[in-house]
Amino acid sequence: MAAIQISCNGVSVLEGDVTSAFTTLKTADYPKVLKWRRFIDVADDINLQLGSLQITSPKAAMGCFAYRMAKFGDIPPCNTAPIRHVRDSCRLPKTAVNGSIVLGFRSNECSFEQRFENFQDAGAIAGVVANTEDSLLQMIAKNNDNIEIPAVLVGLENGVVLRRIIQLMEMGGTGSFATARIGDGLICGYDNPCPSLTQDEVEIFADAEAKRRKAAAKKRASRFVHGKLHKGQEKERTIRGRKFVNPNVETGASGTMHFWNGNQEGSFKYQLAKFGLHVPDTPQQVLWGSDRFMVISEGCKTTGMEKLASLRKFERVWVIFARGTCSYTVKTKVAQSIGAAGAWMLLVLEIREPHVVCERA
Amino acid sequence: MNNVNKLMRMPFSEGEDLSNIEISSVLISKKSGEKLLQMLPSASNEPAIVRFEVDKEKAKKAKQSKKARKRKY
Repeated sequence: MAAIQISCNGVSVLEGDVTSAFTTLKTADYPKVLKWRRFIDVADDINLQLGSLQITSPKAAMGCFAYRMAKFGDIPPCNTAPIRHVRDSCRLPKTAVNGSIVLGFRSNECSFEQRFENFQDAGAIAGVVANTEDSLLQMIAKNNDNIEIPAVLVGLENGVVLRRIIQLMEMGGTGSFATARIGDGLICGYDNPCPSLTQDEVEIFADAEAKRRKAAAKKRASRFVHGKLHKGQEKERTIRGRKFVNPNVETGASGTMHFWNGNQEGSFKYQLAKFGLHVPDTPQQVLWGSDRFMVISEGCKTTGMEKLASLRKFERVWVIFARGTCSYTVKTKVAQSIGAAGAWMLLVLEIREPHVVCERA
Repeated sequence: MNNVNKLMRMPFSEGEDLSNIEISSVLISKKSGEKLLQMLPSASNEPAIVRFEVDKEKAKKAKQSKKARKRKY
């Protein structure tokens, strides 16, 4: 456990390991903003700034979304609260967000500071801003003292999925909202807390460019074939903390896929391919791969997949293709190429003929 | 496998270059697939949510049997 020392105006106010430091800071009688800011200033450890937003309901969308705490704001609270999305976080939210965790998206229109002030003025208990890319930076503000609610940043992909979960829940017509908690599992003593994160498991803004260059150089140096060459390198290689599948290892190759469309839930058994990446831990968006007649496509070529191409802006979407005509690897490559960085994955149904879902009017 | 309701791990051809596949692929059965299609939102650009839960029991058993095999030899 890392040791930590916090001093304020030259006077040592806290000393000890991280766990006890957190606990003391949470209960100590220091001004809220000061204690947290000092903590972040002194504990210049990225791993301490990382945490997870955990969706607690609906059950089908339960999952952990990595965040990085801002250099301002309070310690994330332990309670579970509704999570709401505001369309324009640069203005005071029009929807009632009192007592909620509020999600907004980063843009050039206004500063982080202004967004969180808006969330705070609207009565939110915590603010979450989704970045414009997947990497996590540490948000700063000109005047830290104005913001007293916890402020965290999530990656774009996670932000988009979170927004969809919130939307689906609100569209369900039950009048209830998705709920989440953002406190530290260690401090809060949650049942089934999110696993602790390390810097290696998330993309950090400062390192993103260096990482990209390193990955590109590695790729150029070793063009390998799975199961045949450079076995050692294959094991090492990861993308956003996700490992490549080893075709000869059955561990983690099967499981259950939980599906939720806002009204209905379903669980289906799946088997992982012998290539590509392992499945992600976080909930994802899913859509069927369609050609111009809105059918479930076989996914052997990209022609007519306007719908998928239009989802590029959302980044990674899992797509459903029917089985047949070409190899699984071709389908996977097509899925990847349609979405560019987009189509996160290919879901192949064991259906010989394309299945018509609906026809275009 | 020919049985369309049976699951398998999707294979690849010997010597195929897979170095540029950086997404995941999973296979579900015909029966599950048909059920899933009925549940998909029909409106265009309306994604649903999916979450994957790795079969931990099976993974644990596979790990244990691997260890046992190692001990044997």
